[in-house]
Amino acid sequence: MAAEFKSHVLSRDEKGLMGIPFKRLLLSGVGGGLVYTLAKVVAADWSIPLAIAAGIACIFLTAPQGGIPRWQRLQYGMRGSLMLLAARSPDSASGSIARMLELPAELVVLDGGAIFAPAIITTEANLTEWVTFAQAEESDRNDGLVFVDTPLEVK
Amino acid sequence: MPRDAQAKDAPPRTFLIEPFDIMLHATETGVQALQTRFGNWLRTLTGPARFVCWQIPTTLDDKIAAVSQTARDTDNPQRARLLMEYRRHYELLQNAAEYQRALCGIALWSNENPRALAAGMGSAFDTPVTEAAWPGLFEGRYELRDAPFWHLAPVGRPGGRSVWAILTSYEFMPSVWNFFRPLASLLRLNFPLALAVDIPRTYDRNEGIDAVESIIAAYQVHLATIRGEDSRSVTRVADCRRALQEMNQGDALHLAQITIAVAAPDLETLKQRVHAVINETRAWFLLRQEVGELLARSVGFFAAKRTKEINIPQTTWPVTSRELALMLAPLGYRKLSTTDGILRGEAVGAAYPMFHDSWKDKRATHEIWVGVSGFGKTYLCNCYLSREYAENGIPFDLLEPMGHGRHIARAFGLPWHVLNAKNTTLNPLDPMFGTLIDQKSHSIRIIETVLGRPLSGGQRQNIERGLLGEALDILYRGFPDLNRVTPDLAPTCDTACDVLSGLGDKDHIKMTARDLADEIAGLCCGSGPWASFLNGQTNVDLARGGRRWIEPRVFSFHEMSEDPIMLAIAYTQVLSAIRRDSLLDEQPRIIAVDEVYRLMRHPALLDFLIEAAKTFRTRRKKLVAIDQQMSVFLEGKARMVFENSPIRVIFNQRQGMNVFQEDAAFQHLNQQHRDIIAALPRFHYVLDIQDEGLWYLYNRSSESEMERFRTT
Repeated sequence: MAAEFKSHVLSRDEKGLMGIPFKRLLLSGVGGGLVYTLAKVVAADWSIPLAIAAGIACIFLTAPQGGIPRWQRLQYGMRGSLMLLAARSPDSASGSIARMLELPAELVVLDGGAIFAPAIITTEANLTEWVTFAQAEESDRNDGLVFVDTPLEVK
Repeated sequence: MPRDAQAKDAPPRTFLIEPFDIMLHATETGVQALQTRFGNWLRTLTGPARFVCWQIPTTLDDKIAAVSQTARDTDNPQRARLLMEYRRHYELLQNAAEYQRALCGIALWSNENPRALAAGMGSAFDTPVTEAAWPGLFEGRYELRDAPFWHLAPVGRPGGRSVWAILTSYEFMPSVWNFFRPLASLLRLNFPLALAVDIPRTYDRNEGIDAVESIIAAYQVHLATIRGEDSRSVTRVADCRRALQEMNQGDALHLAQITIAVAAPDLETLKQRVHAVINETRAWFLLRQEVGELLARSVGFFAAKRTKEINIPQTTWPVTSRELALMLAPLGYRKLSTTDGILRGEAVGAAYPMFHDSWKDKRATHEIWVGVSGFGKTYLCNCYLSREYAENGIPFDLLEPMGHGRHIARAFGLPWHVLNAKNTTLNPLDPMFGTLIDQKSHSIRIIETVLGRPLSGGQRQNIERGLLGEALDILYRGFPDLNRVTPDLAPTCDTACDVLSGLGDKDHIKMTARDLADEIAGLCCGSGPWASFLNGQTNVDLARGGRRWIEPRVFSFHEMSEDPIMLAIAYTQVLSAIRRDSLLDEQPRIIAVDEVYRLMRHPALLDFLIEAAKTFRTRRKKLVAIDQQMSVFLEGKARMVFENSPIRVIFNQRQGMNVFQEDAAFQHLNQQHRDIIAALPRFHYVLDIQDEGLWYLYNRSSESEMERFRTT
């Protein structure tokens, strides 16, 4: 028996234009429109080229690369490079930027012992807390077996 | 309340799962049943879960080294020679194969009792599951490196540690999955890798159906408004409908993601291996190589860390339980697990050698071997005894009725004890028990067998029993320690008859004693039918005689006449001697009885076998009972032997399959197991070890074994 795997049944991916899904075209349209509106205030003459550039940039940066948008992948790559630079020279400018961005510097060096530690650590009984009696009457004579922390001194 | 909320704060529970052999399910209905079982378990998931399979290439080097060391240590030249032959065999196996070691584990975030969870998984996967910590993906400290590509490298001196890259799935292709592709073929790549199937969420049934239905609704609106063709949307709607259909049949909807960690000794090799993995799986799912922060975080997939805490962008894929079941395929690929113990065969299909150490603790190690004639039971028995003797120095007693014992006797240079009516004398009064009362009962039982009537149940018989007991008492009283009585000192039948005939204080008792003595003498002394066989000093090496260690012994009964009484007495005396020696010490020893049905025909011998099965365990003795049909061991008292034998070696059983279907002891076998047992080719067998697993093996013997035992 086998199973034929299905497409992603929890996400929408409607057809767009030139192989670009509709949702990305929509995002680039919205992005371009937003830039056009803002640019109209700041630099009216450049508003149309800027809006077009923003739209194209949106399409480019939202293209999936390894299942995640390109901008996010670039961001993770850059964060990683910054982390490495900061770890190698913490006092450099990149180190300062990494600290400012609160990048997780602890991820640069991974300790296998800590990462793969057992999920639940069972507490071992501390035998020094217990006195063991072989017979009930030994408890009257304080004659039980006792575990000690350090070897007893021989006189 | 959503399912995940119940397990929101649940602690992680990690389990290790013993992989099983998918070859035992390799029929259409077999894999279907497997998928259904896995799917049914996945449907019950209430919180996050993660399945991980670690695969490491391995060799038989440890075994070869151990065999070489034993060969150097032993002062027995014959054992040393056998060991060197086995060493050669393991080297040949290793040269012809690339072995891997695999380990599977599951992590569940659940508030349920971990033992209950393990039991549930054990029953669903039909393989042992134990709560245990997972092994680490790597040891020591590793650091992120970005050149020449993102990878993890050991900090400081590598000391043989590998470099690692991690790949994560982000898209599943519309392709057909089964238990053999794509994950099984991925695991055939002979390099160290680990595969994690992360299941961060399982939708509540209604929630899942609602989510998919809303997608269908949205697509329907889109398709109604679009001009022209949108085949992707049409396909998506069809897929959603299929998912709904499966969910309405009981499947759950899960979010799943596959993460693969690849190791290599150097960066160039790592690059090649990463490409090999990506290419191998490309037709089924796409993988991205993690970079930067994501690489460091994704290591968490191989630990019991929640997906949210790992915190990488979500690229999970929604799959139904029946689809997700196929992602657990690595469970069906048992690899070389341990090299401790004795080679029990080579796995059919996967072709890895299976070693098993049945002496590691004091559990019962008895075995039952069944199979129709000509399928390799005797040959395997010879190989097994030879391997145990060579590698562990464990001696054996082989009792067999066909005469093939000469091969193993010749291989080990042992005296071959062929019992026959002409030349063998087995004194029934040889001490076989350490205490007088047991010895008397034993001797009386043999005499009862000779007389063909019980010495109890009536007044006269009771008197006879008392008189015989008194005679034996007189004969044995002179020995302070019965265990030290050698055959030349043991009383004989004619002496017993003489003593018996003089007993009794009243006339009628004297008469009874004389009659009984005459009756016994008539059968066992003078020219009686069993006189030469029973009256005299035992001339088979059955005496302990103060020996600390008894070398392997081979007893063949093929020259015994078909006289059931002689056969019964022969078996009784040999087995009694073995029993006596077995209980005296705790040295491991194997007692192999071929065609055990011949013993079971005699109630007294069956009782002996039952007692042996129960008591031998405590003295580190292994009883190997061999016969043609399993049904022999399941009827009446013989079942006690079966129940004390946790290891079963099953050769072709096409004539007696009913017991595997009807008997409760075989409820763990499914239809595929039964089909396989019914159609096992020669030298193929199913090894069923209670609480450990089921293996489908082939007796791949060494060249020297073939040379030695091929005529069997």
